[in-house]
Amino acid sequence: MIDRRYITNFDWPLLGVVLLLSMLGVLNLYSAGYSATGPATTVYLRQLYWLGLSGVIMVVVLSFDYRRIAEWAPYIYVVSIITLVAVLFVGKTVSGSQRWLGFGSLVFQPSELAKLATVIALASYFYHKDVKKGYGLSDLLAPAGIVLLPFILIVKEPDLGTSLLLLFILASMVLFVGLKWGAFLTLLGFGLTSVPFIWSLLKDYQKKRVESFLWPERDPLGAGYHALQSKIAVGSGKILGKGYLEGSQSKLNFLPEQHTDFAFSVLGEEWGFIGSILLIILYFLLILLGLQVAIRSKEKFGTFLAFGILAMIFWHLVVNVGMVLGLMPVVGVPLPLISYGGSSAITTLTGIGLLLNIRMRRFMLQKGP
Amino acid sequence: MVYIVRQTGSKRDLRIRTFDPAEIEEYHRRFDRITVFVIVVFAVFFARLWYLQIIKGDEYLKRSERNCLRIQYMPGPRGDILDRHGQVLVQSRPSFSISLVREDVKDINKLLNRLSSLLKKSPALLWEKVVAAKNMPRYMPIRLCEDVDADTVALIEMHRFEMPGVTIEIEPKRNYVYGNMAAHLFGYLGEINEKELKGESFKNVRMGEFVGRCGLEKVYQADLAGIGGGRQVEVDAAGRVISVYGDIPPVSGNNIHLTLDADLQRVAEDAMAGRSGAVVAMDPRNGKILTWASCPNIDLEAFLHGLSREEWSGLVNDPLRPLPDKVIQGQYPPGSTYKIVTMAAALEEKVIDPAAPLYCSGYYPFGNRVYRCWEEKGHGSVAMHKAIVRSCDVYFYEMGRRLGVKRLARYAQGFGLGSPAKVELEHEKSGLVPTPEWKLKRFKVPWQEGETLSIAIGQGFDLVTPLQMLRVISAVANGGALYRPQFVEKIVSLDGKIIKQFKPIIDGRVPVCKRNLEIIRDGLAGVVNEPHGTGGACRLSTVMVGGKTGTAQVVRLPAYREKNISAIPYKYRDHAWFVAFAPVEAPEIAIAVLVEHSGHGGSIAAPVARAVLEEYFGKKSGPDAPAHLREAALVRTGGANDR
Repeated sequence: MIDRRYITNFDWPLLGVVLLLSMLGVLNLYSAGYSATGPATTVYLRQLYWLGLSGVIMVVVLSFDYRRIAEWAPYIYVVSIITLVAVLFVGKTVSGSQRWLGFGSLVFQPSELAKLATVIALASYFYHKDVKKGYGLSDLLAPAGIVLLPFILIVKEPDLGTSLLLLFILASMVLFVGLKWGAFLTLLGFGLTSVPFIWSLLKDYQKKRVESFLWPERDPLGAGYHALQSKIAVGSGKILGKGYLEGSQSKLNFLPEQHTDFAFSVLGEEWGFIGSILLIILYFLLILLGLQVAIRSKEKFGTFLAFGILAMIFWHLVVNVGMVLGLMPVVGVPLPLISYGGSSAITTLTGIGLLLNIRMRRFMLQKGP
Repeated sequence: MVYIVRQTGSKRDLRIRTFDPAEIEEYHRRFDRITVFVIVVFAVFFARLWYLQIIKGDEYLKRSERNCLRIQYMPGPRGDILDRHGQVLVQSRPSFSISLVREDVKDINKLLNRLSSLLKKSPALLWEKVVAAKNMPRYMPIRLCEDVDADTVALIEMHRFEMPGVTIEIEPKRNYVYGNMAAHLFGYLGEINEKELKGESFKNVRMGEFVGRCGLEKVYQADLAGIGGGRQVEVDAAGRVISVYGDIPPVSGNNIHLTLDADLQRVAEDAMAGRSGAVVAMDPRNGKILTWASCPNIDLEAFLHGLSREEWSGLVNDPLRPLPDKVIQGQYPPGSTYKIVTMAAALEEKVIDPAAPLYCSGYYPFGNRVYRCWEEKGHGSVAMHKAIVRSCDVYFYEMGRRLGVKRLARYAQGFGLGSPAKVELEHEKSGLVPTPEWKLKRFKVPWQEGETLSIAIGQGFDLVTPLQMLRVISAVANGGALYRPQFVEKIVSLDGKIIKQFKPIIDGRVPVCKRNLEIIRDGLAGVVNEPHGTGGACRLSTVMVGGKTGTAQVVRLPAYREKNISAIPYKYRDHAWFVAFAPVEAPEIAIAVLVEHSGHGGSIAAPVARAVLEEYFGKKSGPDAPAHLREAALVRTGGANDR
């Protein structure tokens, strides 16, 4: 029996925004794989399958009380760490990085799952710790440890983008639950002073990598070239765009990774300012609706978990759109629901499922504890 | 995990912690700040999209329409390979190729016709290349013609204005200074394939570049490979560079200094001319390889251009088998060279007093069979020294019987036989040291005592590679150490900095005491220097050489026993072996020679070893001595069956 209050408390607008974004993503992937001369790729079909699977997982996530997850957090975390370790030993290597685990024809990227597992672990930790007057330095050792373990494993793959996202998520959540002023200033000072120290520890080739990460113009053949081509693609879309399936930048293969990291450039080129702004507005709505879920949850775990999930989606968005628009260095981070990627779709929609779960069970508290 | 999770039973036990009123206020303030932050970020995106698509839109549209940014790659030259004296053996030279950028071409039909007359290639061939690259971005150059000569380059350069889209690229190309010398050791290069491009082993290698496919070129790929550079340029309608946005100069690969001696190598290969086999020599004091010849050589240059199907099948079906590196991939019965191992085992296990004579009547009855000595007339009374000098089979049959197959196998393994020498090159074969267990497993039949006799003289199931025999003779020469064969002295960067210096590695010691090794060395010196020794053809006048001949039967067919070698089909002819070291008093070079299907070790293989040793010691022995000795050797071994 489904309690009617589940229905009345369900966040239909949030689900609507997510469905719209997913459909836009599939439409855009069809175009990214479309070529006037060669055969069209079936990436969009595969993305549809993945979205279907993610939808099923989302329904499963809705079926139980999210507050159970506070107890399951350690198990979820351990499993995700095990898959991260496994990927280092038996993982598939694609373009130099060992990020994928294969089960038959199913290929899975554990670092995507690890982000969600880490968010859950952090939310659960802050919930149980329940510090009222701001966290001190010693309280932060545990959350730092929770993030550091997957961070190191993901750096090893190597996947710099995802590991940096983990740090962003940690920082956001720590700032959200509240820091003592002393701890905040100490961390800030420590962070700033340790940069030259860490720099001196890096090997030459690592320094080079960081340099081209920060200054893409020093890598005119790789990141710099891609960044410029992406700007040309988006800019050439002008107000109305070149039209669906008409983008020349993407059709002529000037854009790298147009299915994944640079999917937004394809959209910008073909749909122009109007289409890009529509997409940005949809994301804006997603974040605002999500924040409402976090604000209106009557209990702390729901608030923390919802905020963590939003931080995860938000930072993906910022890093990816920033890269496509030439505001940030080129880092391989997918745009949730728009970029092709099964693991990314599953992680994002599971997160959205948790948001919906938190929203629709907020009434339960009204019965009294 | 640092934190503890409260265990709860059923759903009712869910602990829920709500916010205090004061907290709610605090959190609402935080949510307000977060919302402001989110709005600012989205405002920045909005502004940026406005700037890119509305303010700069026309400019970017123009740039996308005549997207004139090109990337020009400049491959890094591969490092050189040098010999121990610094002589360059393999290097990189500049080579010109003609390419086409479709993006800049107006009428591709006309252009290809024009090009075909200038390049003297059929238009169909050029079309084929263009079609093959149809899935590549249009701004990427398509390689039409590689390694064109200077005249053609000048001709194309002259007509470039009429042919927009045509570019001339310079790239380094492998140059083999001594032709195909030591081809198997160096290994050939091949163009990188798509699978390798996606893998992580060849990170700095781009499409169209060459990587080591085998030999040292493959083993040291990472050291030899240069790091490609390139520049991002803007081109005009004719494909000419207007401006350069970024420039990364290519970096040359590291040079590899080998332990190989080019002069010795050349002499070894010349001595093997027209024959199939292997000549490998090293310094027994440290394992440094001096020559490494697998004959006949392969044509390294041909591999650069890519082999046609016919050329491939020609190589595969050639009876002289040029493809495998016979030094480590050729497995042969060791023949009488194996008597060194049997002798060591007999001495060490004290199954006979070296001074005690046995009687050789030319044959050895065992069970219901008769095992023949190569000397049909028999050697008469034979003690150990005479037995090794004249390679008496009967004496070693008896040693084999006394030792038994297991003890023999143990010593063979002690000398490094039956397992790879762990050289850096790929596909090294391990040979075979037969044991009763092995035979039962392999053939499902028990060991026959008689087989032990065949083993003792290096026939039967025994298989060794020339490199393994080189290690055996080196260990005898240096007092028992099994050195790991070493090819590379050092790896040096372009600016002369030593990147890596290699040190000799001892993999183990043979289970034979120094005194017994000396007895063996004395015997091997006799093989070469005593009047009836089988290795007289390797005698030098100035330096005392020690060695052992071997003639490995390929088939045991009585029909071929007495025939002249040329009357026997090639594939049934015996393999000729010779292993040697010099000077006997203080050995500094050890050598193993194998000549496939050629006849007797003493007459065929020993002179090859002699040529190399002669070159090494830089002096000629008396002018008549070699001829006289060679004749003597032929008389002794001709028609007979010196194993």
